[in-house]
Amino acid sequence: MTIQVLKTGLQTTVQDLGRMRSKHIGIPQSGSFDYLSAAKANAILNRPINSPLLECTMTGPSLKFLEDMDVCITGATVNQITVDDSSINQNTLVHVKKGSILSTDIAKDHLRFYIAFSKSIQATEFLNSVSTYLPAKFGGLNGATIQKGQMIDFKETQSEAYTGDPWIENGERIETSKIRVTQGPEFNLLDASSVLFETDFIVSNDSNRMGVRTVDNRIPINDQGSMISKPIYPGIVQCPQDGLPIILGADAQTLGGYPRILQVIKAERHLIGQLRPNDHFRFELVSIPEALDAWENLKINYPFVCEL
Amino acid sequence: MAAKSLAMSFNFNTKISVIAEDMLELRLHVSHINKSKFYWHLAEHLLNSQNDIEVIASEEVISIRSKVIPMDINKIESALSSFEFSLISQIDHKLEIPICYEDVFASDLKEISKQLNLSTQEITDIHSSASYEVKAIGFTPGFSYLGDLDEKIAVPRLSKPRVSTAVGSVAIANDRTGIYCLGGPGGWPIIGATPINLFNPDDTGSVTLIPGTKVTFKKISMEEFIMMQSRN
Repeated sequence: MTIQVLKTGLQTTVQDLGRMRSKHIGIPQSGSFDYLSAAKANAILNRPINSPLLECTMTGPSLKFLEDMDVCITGATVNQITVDDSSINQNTLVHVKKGSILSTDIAKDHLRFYIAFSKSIQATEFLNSVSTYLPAKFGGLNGATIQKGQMIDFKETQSEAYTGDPWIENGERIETSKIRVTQGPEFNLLDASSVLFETDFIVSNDSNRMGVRTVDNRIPINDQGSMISKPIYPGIVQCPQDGLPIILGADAQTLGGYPRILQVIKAERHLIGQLRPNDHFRFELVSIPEALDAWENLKINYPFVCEL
Repeated sequence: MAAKSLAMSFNFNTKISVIAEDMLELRLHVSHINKSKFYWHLAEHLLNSQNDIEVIASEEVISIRSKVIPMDINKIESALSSFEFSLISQIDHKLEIPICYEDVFASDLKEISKQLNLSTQEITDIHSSASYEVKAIGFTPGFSYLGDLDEKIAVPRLSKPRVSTAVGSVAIANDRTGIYCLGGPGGWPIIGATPINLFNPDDTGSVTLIPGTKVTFKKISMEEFIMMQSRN
């Protein structure tokens, strides 16, 4: 059971929900950056939400199926997705026949989209996850992005099939213009914290899976750069001396020396993966009880996120 | 700052701060000579006490992030109270790491030599003759923070971090020296490289360099470097 890569897309990697419980030895989490969209794709296919899938960044692949398979594409809205010559929809199960070619082009808005399969991608497992971590070449397909001409192998997964009903997506829009946060441990190093919540931040081209960087609008921070490195996670917002906040991403390092001014709330951390270069966004400060409520609401809307 | 904090006493003094809906930080007041080792083993103990948490130890704080929220502080407290540092082996691993300081590996050595007004020989002599201890592990996979570096050769981080460093690069910054075991991005000036692979976690995630490990360096030539590398 195989598909062949005809076109790769900008940065297409195999991801699951990440490498958990290895941060104490310095191994980053990795995993799908917009894990809500990723989990959704698997849930729609009635598969365990941790099943490996392809994460596409800005542009996606063309894949030739050498076997019948079902797929589901979620996340950023793709300009055009076709199977052979017919357009197909996102957020729904699509049958792809043996010999057919699935083609994706470019994300119209937001950044990452996910292609999940009814069968399980055979990828390298390391510390209980097949997520690709490019900087150290862990997991995925040889620790790398998918390559043109590559054959991706699949294994049968009957035993893994979900017992529940497949998820039916209501097509809720991804909204990244406002990211809710709580105060971080070094929040008090901000000179005038109110400015932070009145500033339009602009996503930098230098952003990647390690972190979403910002440009232009600087916030005043009182830091001499001498802090001893502190624990950090995906979703923590660091602010270096230059005043340009960095939101740490799925591949975030585990220790860092810049002030941790904010943390994106658990209910919205998946949105960081959809911030696209030149997008504008603001931070909105909420309390810990509000952050807990937001998570409860997300669980009501998407019951499968209990496992996240 | 933190929303609330509570002080408690166990066999060591701990302050737990609630940072966010799924994050706590612990600060200990240990007069222990081996503080970083204490932190790291306590972090590992906490991790093993619950399946749904992540734990990271830095040199002065332990951070816990929980999958299940709201977090159950009682569980953390009870794990803290069952930690016995005396049960951790007090015999520290000792490791001699060979380092080659030849130009080809030492991208920033000449610049540092100018900055400090010391010869490259003086810098590498100071670096290789001291004894170090692993203070923390993390940042990127396989990176270890070793201290304390002689203040005579203390330099700041690079103003612009490198996108990638060569596997095994040996770097210094402030009072720490570190090894980029797996390469990756890095902001510390590089003065050498080791041919030894110090990072090969098995599936249980156990690694060679953990806080508390005593490290010494040994200067090697390019020929020795190549010979040792071929044995990996």
